[in-house]
Amino acid sequence: MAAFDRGKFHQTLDDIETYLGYLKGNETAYDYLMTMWGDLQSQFETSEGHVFTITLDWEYKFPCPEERFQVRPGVHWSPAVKQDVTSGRLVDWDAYTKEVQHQTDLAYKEGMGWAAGIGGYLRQLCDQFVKPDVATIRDTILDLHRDVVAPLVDAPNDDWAHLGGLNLRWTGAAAASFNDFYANYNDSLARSGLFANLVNVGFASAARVTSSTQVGAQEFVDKMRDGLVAQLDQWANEGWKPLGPPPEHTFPEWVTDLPAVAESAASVAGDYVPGVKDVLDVRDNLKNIADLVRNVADLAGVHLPQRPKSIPVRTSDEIYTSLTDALNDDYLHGYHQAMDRLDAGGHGGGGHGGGAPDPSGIEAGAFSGQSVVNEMREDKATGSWELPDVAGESLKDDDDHY
Amino acid sequence: METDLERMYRAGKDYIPAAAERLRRTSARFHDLLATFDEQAALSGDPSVLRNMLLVGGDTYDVLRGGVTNLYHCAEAVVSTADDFRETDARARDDYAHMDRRVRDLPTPTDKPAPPSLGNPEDPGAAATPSTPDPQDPAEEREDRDHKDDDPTAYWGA
Repeated sequence: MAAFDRGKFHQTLDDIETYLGYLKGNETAYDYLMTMWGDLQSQFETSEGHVFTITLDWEYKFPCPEERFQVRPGVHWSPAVKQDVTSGRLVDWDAYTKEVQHQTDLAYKEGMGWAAGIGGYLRQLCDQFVKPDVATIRDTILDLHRDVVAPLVDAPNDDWAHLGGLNLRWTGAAAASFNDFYANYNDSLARSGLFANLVNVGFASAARVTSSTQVGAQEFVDKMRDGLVAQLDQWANEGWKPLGPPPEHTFPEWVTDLPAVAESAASVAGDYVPGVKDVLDVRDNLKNIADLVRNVADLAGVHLPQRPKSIPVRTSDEIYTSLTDALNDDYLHGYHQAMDRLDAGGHGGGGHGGGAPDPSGIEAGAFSGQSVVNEMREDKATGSWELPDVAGESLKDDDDHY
Repeated sequence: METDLERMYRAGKDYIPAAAERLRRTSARFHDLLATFDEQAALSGDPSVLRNMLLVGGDTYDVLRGGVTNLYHCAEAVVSTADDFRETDARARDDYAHMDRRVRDLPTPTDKPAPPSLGNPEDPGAAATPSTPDPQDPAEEREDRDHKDDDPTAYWGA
């Protein structure tokens, strides 16, 4: 595993469309030949005459655009026919087999046509976890930490404009809101820093889920493509429909365990949540955000958890159904559930939505998107964060003395 | 020894405008970074955890942005207060006459506009990026695919 490459992922999906088209082409061409064989069999049973077998041209191949996968069915297709030489109505069997070959070509191309657009649909299935750019998210988190969070929590000390208490002697109409603003400005900035940091923690945890989904899906589709190639090789080698799927373990027998990824991401995120409202404690908890996103855009060396999954694979329909179901159920829905888990927190156990969220605000060691929102709403309700509006006018009352 | 008037002017013309400028820059940066987060969330199909993060980020941004405007008002208020004392109090006038030139010559701060509104980044989609929609259900897609080749020119009739 390494960094996720969107272009490579899309190429794999396009390859899968191509190979599914070849496989479906083989199957429809084969079905056509078997149907014709069946027709000839019926005719054979009701006819009289000289018995012989007809064959396709020895060189005849299904018209696969890639030579490596071309199937030569000549040795396998050999129906017995009867020619009644006394009737005077001779069948031109040579012309007949030529026509069968022509129709087999058409059947093959019809089969290939079935696959048109599969690559586009597979992309659509994966867009929600493939389109976001984890490296961009990581860089934004680091920039946000350096340029926003750090300066905010490094907020100025009390008496940040060095008024030395002068302002407390002013009692003009505008003085109350000024003094409120002045006294609480640094704490408010630090609170903003805390919230900006929690936004970062949320995006970092989500990026971990996204990155794992991307890399896990890439592994999965690579393995599906390899299985398809192996199955096409079987067709080409045998010149006919293979008896079964390619050798064991060619197709994946697992999917990435995204619920486990979500648990891990939520647990790591919890370590970055200070269950505190004190400015100094907030500062102390902000040091390691870089660690939270250090490997997020490149999971090289990280083993993603997998869980076993039975994937029946032999025909194009089976492979296509297994692939789309796995991408939809295990990857896309797994991704949704993992995101929901981050939003709702771990209270109340697993399952979709992760159980009931904690209605109160943040607490040390546990991250959830909803608890961050609750914390913010609580701060708004208690007036401990937002600052009053200040009028830009003299703060001096007529009775105030210099 | 710094006089009260000098303390007021230094605060109103130097410290507070400097704080406003710092916060303006921090907010502007926050604005741009949140816009990037908003775009990435839209690409991700706007999962609720990211929308909640954008709600918190957007509200935090609004607090900071409001802070910039209010800091400029604070600077104006303190300078006006100093001017007020200078006009009404002889000792303040005297202090002004002897005030360090470097303070007296500080320019009157001018407001810079607060960073622009970010709207509601928690809403689905972003400025130039629609929310990535849910895909068609695989079973439906298969149904469509299996029927698209119901074609009268099919080879079976040969």
